[in-house]
Amino acid sequence: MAKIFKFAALYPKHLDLNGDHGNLLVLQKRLAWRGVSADIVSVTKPTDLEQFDFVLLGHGSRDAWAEVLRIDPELISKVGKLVRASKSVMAISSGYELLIEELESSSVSHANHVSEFRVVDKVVGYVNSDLVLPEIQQLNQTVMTLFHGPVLAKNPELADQVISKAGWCDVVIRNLEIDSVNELASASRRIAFED
Amino acid sequence: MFYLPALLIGRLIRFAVRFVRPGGGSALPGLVVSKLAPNLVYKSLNSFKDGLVVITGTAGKSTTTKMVVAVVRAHGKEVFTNPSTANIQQGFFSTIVRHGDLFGKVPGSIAILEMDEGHAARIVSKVKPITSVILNVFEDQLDRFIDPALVREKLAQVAKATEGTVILNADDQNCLQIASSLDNPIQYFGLSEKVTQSSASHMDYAQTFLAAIAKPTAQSIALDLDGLNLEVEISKERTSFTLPSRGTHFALDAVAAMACAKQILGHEFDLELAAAVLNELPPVFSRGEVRNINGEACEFILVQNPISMQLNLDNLPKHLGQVMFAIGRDVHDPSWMWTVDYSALKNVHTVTGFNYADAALVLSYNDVGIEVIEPEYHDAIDSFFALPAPAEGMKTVIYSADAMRRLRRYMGFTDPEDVERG
Repeated sequence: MAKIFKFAALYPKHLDLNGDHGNLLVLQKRLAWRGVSADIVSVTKPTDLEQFDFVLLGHGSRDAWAEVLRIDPELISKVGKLVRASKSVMAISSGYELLIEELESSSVSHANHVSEFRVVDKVVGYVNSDLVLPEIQQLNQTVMTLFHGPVLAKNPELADQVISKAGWCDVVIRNLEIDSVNELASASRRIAFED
Repeated sequence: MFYLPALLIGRLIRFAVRFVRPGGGSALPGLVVSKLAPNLVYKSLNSFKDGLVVITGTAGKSTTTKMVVAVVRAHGKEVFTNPSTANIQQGFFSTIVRHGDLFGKVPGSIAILEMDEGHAARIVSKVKPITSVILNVFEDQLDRFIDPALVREKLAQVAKATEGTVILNADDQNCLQIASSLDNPIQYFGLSEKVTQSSASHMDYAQTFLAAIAKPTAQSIALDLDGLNLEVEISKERTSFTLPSRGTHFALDAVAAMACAKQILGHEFDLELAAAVLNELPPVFSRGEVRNINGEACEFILVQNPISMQLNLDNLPKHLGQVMFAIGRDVHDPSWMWTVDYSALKNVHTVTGFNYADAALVLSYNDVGIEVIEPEYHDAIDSFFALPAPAEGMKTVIYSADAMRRLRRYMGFTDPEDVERG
């Protein structure tokens, strides 16, 4: 029987303020369209994150993070261990901030708040943050980004890069569904910068 | 006298814009007058004998305001109000240009205004409301507000600036947090346990992530909702009427409106008269509005944020005709569309609007079938309404505010009051 991959949606009621968890759906569907199955599992207070093939640490409000870290003070260090062990992880906005602070043992600074589309290395996304961090950076098999919401839907090449790096399937496989959403994503990236 | 030149210029601009673009011209005069006479709005809003009533919150402002105004007017009071498209500061200037005299005096003994949650806090710093209604806090416009807690703080400023009673949603923890910081008299409205349990979709208010506050006893309650038929209890008196539109959120708007009207009218408030008014009230345009297009009834549904999208999708009729899904320029950051559960929407005939690509992307990844993706909005409108009438249900347009404005202008629906019950 073919393996069913398991994706962890960490604290989805707290850390999906801007639709970041849509990235899990994008990965799941792009695998399904290539004949590969993946389950998305809502996870709170995880004891064994190693069992998951992909872990998403999304963005949450100030008060949401206060509650998450009250429930689970070790959460960020658990995710940090996954990054160091070259597991597949994605961290977004405030999730990115906390993870990079954990990985680099230094504080992230804040500046003027920006709320706009940006493009970095051909990746287009929406930044709604005051964090002084690169918009996107990759470490081992981890993608960390300030681009909130469904950045993988808008940037299917990045989604396929995550899939390919993790070795879940051959991303050369194309079909009608994938071509259709890739075309829409291309239009979406163009429209992001139209007046 | 100081305001006379500014108001004259505003009126000339309005006349010119409406001459060039019939149905348009609501925004520019307000923008110009706000620059020329920035204090005009405060002078005008301070001039009402019975004061200013503010209705604010994330969702339901237009419907609630329309209901309160209709009920209060039916009791014989002369009311000044704003159209639903004019709930930000610039819109108030436009409304004054349109309805006021050349000295900035607007007719009416009381002003009942819906206010955008961001602009309300600024306005009440200079004009104290006599009563305010705070409907709810949902996750909305995060590109503008960043964090729902900041919206709650702005609404708390409105509540604290209120000189009299603050009317709050007993079911929303955000409102209860606001209540805990107030010295004002408070009235609550809310849903009965029966309505809460039976509703197609729960009202997912923005979570506070703070210690939960026990739900207080509401004086105005939606007791039972069966389709459009609503039974309410207002200060222990009961009555029933039909809502203008489907959904629990409209029931909540109705009890908020009843509570507000009773607060304004005091002993003069007649519950049966209020119920009779709401029984006949047409919906606010595009809030479940049904119009005849080419001899065929079509429904128009405005979606402005995750909660309005979710509630409207969850309350779609069982038999749905072809659907046009149009997301316009007002959706600056389309990320929020990914927080919605689309399982109630199986197929969309046409996806269009400025943000057609993001709309089609989210629908595609959520397994919603799409027949046509048409980037050109006017072409999409023409093709959609030329389709044969559906075998069951009505053609339905689900659209964002910008797409709504463009469609209404293109189709010549220029009068916001020209709305009938479906």
